[in-house]
Amino acid sequence: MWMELIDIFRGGDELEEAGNDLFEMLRIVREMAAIVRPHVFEHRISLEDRNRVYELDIQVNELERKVRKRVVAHLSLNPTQVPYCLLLMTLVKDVERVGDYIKNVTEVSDLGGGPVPGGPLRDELEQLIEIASKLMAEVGDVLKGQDRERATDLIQRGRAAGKRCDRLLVAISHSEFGAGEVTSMVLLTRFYKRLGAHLVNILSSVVMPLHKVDFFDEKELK
Amino acid sequence: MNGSTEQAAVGSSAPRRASGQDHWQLLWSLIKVAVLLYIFLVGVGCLSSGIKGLGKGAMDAYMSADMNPLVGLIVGILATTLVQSSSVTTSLIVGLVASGQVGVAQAIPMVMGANIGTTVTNTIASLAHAGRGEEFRRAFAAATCHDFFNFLAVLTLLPLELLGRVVAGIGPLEYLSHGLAQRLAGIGGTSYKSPLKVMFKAGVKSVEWLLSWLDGHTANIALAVVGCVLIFVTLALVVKVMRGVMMSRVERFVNRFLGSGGLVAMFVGIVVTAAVQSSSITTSILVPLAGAGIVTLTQVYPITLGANIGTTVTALLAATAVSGDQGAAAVQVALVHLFFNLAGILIWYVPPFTRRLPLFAARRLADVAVRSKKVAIAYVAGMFYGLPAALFLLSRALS
Repeated sequence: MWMELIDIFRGGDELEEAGNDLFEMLRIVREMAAIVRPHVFEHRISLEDRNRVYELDIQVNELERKVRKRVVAHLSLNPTQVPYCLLLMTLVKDVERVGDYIKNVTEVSDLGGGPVPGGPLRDELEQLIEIASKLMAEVGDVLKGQDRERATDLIQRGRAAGKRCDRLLVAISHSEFGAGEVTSMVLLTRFYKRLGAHLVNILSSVVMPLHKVDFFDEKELK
Repeated sequence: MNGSTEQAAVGSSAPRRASGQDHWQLLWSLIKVAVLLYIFLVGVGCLSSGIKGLGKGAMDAYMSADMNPLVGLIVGILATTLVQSSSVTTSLIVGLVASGQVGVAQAIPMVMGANIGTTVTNTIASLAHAGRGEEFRRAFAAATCHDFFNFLAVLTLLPLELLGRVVAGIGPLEYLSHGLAQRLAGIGGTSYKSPLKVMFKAGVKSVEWLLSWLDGHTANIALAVVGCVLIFVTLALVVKVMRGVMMSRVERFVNRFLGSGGLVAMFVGIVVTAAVQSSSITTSILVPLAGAGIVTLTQVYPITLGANIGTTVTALLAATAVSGDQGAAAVQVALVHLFFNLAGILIWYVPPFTRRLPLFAARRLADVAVRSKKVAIAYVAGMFYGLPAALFLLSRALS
């Protein structure tokens, strides 16, 4: 411990560590999503997997607090790199929300949702979940590489998926499904819509100036 | 990264780990500090040489041998609150003792006063949080726990010191520091000629040569003034250079080791303060952290005490510049500063029941200050400026 203590006097960049924590949060939510994905429609997730998802969600929350603490400590001691600090504060919140929605997906059956029946509505939802999974898989690399082109493409796909979610909800409301099935479909559609929206928010930081993160200025996206 | 051109992006343009260029910058900072410390020590030499040159009794009008210890304490408080640095005050005291014009016994209350006076800086810093209630409560308590520790330490150790003088002819701090100063041959005022002392002496001689066009008495006054200015300016510059170097280290400590316990916190307080040569810097950077809720009052307290110990390095450093008959006395007064703080910690930190008192007082005062900001301002103005000034004027009027 004393050697580690001496090590702090060798210097280093705490904001870089905070950035690494953000990427770790993204890695964890990807792991959570991968555990949940096979069980989305049948609600047959094992207790072990469910507990694992909850544990990972706790890790995400702890990392969020850690990043916030680092940022507040940095700004209190040395108010430089303010935009970067504010961006970190925004992004960790989005990743934490992604973790929450993945956890919520495992809770659909507890909220009265039954198994989702096959058919065109489920197929549509399946495609939307696939798009959200694609965003999740790529967001870390796009963010790390600051790949504007890829970010713009994913943002547009994510936004289009959000609009499809809204249309799907209307279609579900007009369907012949029973209460349990509708509950499942609506909750899942809603959860994946929000999850995708938070991932799009994160991606927007690559193309938007700080004050426009979470918003979409078409001129900036072109 | 310049504030106006900062890129808000996570990834390739994010801040990077310390690079080779950073290491060169660190080395350059250390070279600057080494040069500044040399000039600082030359300043101490100039001060003591100038005062010495004025002849015996030159300081009697200001600091007579039979000076009331309370006046000495007040002088220490006022001088430190005015220059906002106990390092400057204690270095000046070392210079005065080295000149032979001020005795160690007279200097002890002044050193204690410097310890109190230095706490005003972070208390003033905490007033910046006055607009936000809870934040101010935390920040003000974090700042004033330092005040209360120093008040309590002086209230305990000054009477003990005076009692010791009455009963045994020498106070405990004076006795302990005398014994060690005599053994520390080679650090200050000792017989062998170290190359460093030769260098300091050469520096003082250069300043004397520059002032040689003045007549004897004026030249000595000018030498003492130049010494004071060099001490003040070089310490301010050392603080400026080292603040930048240490800030990221403090950040790392806050993020990694804050909950590791009092001893670790105290160690960090010592190292950071010794490096920046200012306890005010260490304690002032804790204030916004406490205000933001990143550190608790219980965590702040040991770091503050570490800062109290770390700041004693400056006086010890100043004593190394002193040669001649008064060298041991200069080391002794620097050691008094160290022993005073160590004794204060033994009494007001080590036993858990006494540790609670300064923290309790700081919390209660913060509760009152949150309700009325005027109380906070009155506390700072009264305790650090008004009351000491009034007592000083009263004692001058009575003497």
